Amino acid sequence: MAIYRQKGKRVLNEGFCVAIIDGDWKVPYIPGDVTNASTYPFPVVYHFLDDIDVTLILNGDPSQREPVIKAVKEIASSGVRGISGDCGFLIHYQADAARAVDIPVYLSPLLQLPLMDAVLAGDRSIGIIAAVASSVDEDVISKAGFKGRRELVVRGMQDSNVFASSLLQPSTSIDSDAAANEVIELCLQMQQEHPNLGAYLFECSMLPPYSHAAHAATGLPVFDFVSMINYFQRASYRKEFTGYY
Amino acid sequence: MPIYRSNETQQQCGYAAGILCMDEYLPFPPGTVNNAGTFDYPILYKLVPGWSSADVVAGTEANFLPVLLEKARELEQAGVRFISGNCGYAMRLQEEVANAVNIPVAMSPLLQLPVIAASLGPEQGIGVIGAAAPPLSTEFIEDSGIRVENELIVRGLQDEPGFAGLLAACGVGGEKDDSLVEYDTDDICADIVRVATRMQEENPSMGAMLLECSEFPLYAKAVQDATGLPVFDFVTLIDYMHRATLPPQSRGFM
Repeated sequence: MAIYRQKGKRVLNEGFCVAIIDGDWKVPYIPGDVTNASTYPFPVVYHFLDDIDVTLILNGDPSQREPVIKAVKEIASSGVRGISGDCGFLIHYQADAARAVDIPVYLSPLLQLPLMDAVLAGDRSIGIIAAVASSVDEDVISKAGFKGRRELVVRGMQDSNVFASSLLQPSTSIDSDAAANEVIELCLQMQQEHPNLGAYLFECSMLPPYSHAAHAATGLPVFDFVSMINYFQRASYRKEFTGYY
Repeated sequence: MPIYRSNETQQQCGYAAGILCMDEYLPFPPGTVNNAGTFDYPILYKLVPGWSSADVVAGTEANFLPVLLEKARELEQAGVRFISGNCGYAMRLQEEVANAVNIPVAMSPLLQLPVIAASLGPEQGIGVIGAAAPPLSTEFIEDSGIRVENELIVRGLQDEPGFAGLLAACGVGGEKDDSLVEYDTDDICADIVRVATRMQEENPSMGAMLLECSEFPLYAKAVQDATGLPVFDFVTLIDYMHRATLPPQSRGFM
């Protein structure tokens, strides 16, 4: 056992390794969603941002920079070991946010692109599925740190029926089986059009519930928000190895 | 239940992770890449005859590369979903192995440097601890295709009392000595914690540590406890690849 000292005045709780900044999307956060705590095998804490306009984040509007940076600084002083977000287009504020604090900041799954680029054969393309395809422009790809030469195939959920009407605008319910079918259909269509597809990258925080189904239908790896958050959490909270010899 | 089809060559199924192994034999305690209990899922290990530290240090990987590629294809044929290895210096072979198969390949923890760098501020250095430096160095990392803006602080354990014996057993810095049958993980832990602490003292703005060697994940917690930094290594990489190549069904409630 050890001696534990109070870290500051009136600290109500400890042990949250990951904090997630949370915009007011007004949609159901189902299991597997970034904003559902039961998605993770470890505790996460949400930091609700009531002073940002989520619709302006999509294109990186400069007006949303300050509230995001302010939130990141506040969170960093609370003792968490890493900060994520609930919208992949927070990539627009990633560099400023990472600079603002001492702990790792990983606001967007698009940050996985350079690693995905390195692990795939050179002739394979990467399929990106975003909430809105048109928001994944060259600026976003560059902010993700992608310097590779391979083809990126970008699609979005904006033209879907169930996913778009239940998640891309305020709603109180979603038929997740129907949404899964839409995601699967899009994945298969991308794979048919691009037989050299090597992996998917899901931008949106509401897509991880469908990663398993997408993988099962296509056989391809799926990188998403949750794979990134799990990865950083694991590095930020190392455990003793058990096992035998 | 679905219909399952075999590819007719699989002798066993259910291994998503395939790990190519150097032709070297050491005690592999839990927490090292070659101990299956290090992972929460099954690992298919595949020996690469002739893959030696001596060639890696001398930069003569061409001696074993054809066999390495052949074994990578065998792992793919066996049905694994991704391939890793047990020597971080194989970063230099990453592209060749990745291009030899149709599944993702993650040969070295050094692959994590860009994503680690992206999560940090540009003035935060990244500490890299390898088995021996040289051959590991900033130039080695850049030459193998990894470019990051953050400063890399690269150190090895070649001169540390606990680890030197293990290196000698692999033929690094002298004649290969196959007689090593034991080592003390407390000694190596003291080595790596001492080196990590010194790195942090010399570079107070360091934002993360990356451990290159497949023997090192065992000490990741000790390094983290001593430095307070996030610690990345072979195991964080392999866990990450496993998760992406076999995404689990979401469970939970709302």
